[in-house]
Amino acid sequence: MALVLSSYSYYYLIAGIINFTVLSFLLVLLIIHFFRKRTVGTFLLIMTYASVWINEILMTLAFYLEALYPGNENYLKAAQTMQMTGVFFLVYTINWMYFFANRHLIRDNDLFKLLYTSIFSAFVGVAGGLAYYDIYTGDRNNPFWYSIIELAGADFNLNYPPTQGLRLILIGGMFAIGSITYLRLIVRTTRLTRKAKDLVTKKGLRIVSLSILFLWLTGLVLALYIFGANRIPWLSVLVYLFRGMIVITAVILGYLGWIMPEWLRRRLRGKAWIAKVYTGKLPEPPKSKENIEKAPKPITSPTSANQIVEISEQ
Amino acid sequence: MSFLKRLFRQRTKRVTITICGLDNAGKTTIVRYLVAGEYKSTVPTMGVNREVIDLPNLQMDIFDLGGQLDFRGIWPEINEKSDGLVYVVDASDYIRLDESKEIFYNIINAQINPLIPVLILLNKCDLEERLSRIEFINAFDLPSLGNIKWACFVTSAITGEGIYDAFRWFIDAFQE
Ligand SMILES: Nc1nc2c(ncn2[C@@H]2O[C@H](COP(=O)(O)OP(=O)(O)O)[C@@H](O)[C@H]2O)c(=O)[nH]1
Ligand SMILES: [Mg+2]
Repeated sequence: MALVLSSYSYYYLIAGIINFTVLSFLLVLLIIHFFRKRTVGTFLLIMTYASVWINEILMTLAFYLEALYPGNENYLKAAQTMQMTGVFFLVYTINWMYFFANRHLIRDNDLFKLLYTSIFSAFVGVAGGLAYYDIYTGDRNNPFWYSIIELAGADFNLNYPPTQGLRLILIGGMFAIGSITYLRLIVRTTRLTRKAKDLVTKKGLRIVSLSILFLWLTGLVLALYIFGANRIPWLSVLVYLFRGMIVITAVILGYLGWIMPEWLRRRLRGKAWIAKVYTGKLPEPPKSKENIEKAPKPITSPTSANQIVEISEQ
Repeated sequence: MSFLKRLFRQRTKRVTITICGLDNAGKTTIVRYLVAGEYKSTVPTMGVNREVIDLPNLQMDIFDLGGQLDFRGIWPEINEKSDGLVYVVDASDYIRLDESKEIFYNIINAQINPLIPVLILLNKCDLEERLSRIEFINAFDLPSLGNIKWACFVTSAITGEGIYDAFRWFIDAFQE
């Protein structure tokens, strides 16, 4: 394949591979944790971040397809389909996160949860159906049920739900539901943080609220493209790299805050009380009379002398 | 700095410690006291709780084993590898004293390496109605332990009484 890609393209493609690698690693950590705990909560968390991961894979694969097979109609359609599907996976992280949060942060009733998922799925279903329909039957130069965001300087483009006219309701609705959900979770977490007595819990919850904030930002950064960042090649690349970093940060923080691996817990906890007393940072507590009286130097060796002390006490 | 720390850390000795005793003796509360320096309420331990405590030259990897009958099956496996045993007895639980004694000797005779230090804690000494240390040593027949290196302290995981002295002895036992 004697193929010449624009130099800007490489940034996207390499960033895609890095994002994929890091996210895969984190997902494996989560899955290992799941097999240890086997809780529904962990599974929901895995699904939340797996959705982010699938979006990353689909988007990067689509870029590769478009870059490697320019002008191939079928591959182009496949690439567009993949990108749109990726967007919907990303949007669906909101729903997974909502159900996960329902086990740990909030307690919505079943009716509300069902309503939430139904409305959510309706938006995704309608937006998806119409977009696929337009990709396969419509005119690519004039897309109606999806929009093409041209990445200046790159050999491929971003496909996104429609960003003009009344059709904006589709992405707007998903965005609104997502924002309300995340905002609610952040407020709730902040409140819990304030109430938490235990230092580790407090810090853990703070990490959790940051991770939710970053998850929300992943949706927001792409909006920069809608406002025209895609027209300047280097800015477009920067936004893309930035987005990748935000996605990775969101998942790392989520892993740390929710799973709270042992090394982090110990680090947040600080030195143990006994270690502080032992090293003289805290004063020694008064000795118990009973312990002193009966064994001035508590039995320190297995010599029978010590045991005689014990016996002679009787 | 952290590089230097890591260099030094290699000199620290790592020991695995198991905490055994009947359920409700106060094992988890004691471990939490070691960490927090104050009383923290606990929930009954299912399976194993693990806590790591870093001291200047010693890292203690503490396994707090669930005391209920269902979990005792995993004790031998963990005790076999342990470098130190902490055995906790509820000083106010006269009724189950014999049961506790039986388990204690089972561990001593069958599960642990006879060279490791054994720290016996007569816990809940803040309660009025309880065994005294001497009564307990008699009842448990501790002098019959022979060559095993042991010590018995009264403790309270609520007031903290005796906990530092007990573990000070235990830590020093590893430093030799
Ligand atoms: N009065 C008193 N209660 C204690 C003491 N240590 C633990 N407890 C209580 O005993 C109960 C069982 O403690 P826990 O640590 O869960 O026992 P474990 O099953 O051995 O881990 C809890 O209700 C503790 O609050 C103590 O020193 N004094
Ligand atoms: Mg316990």
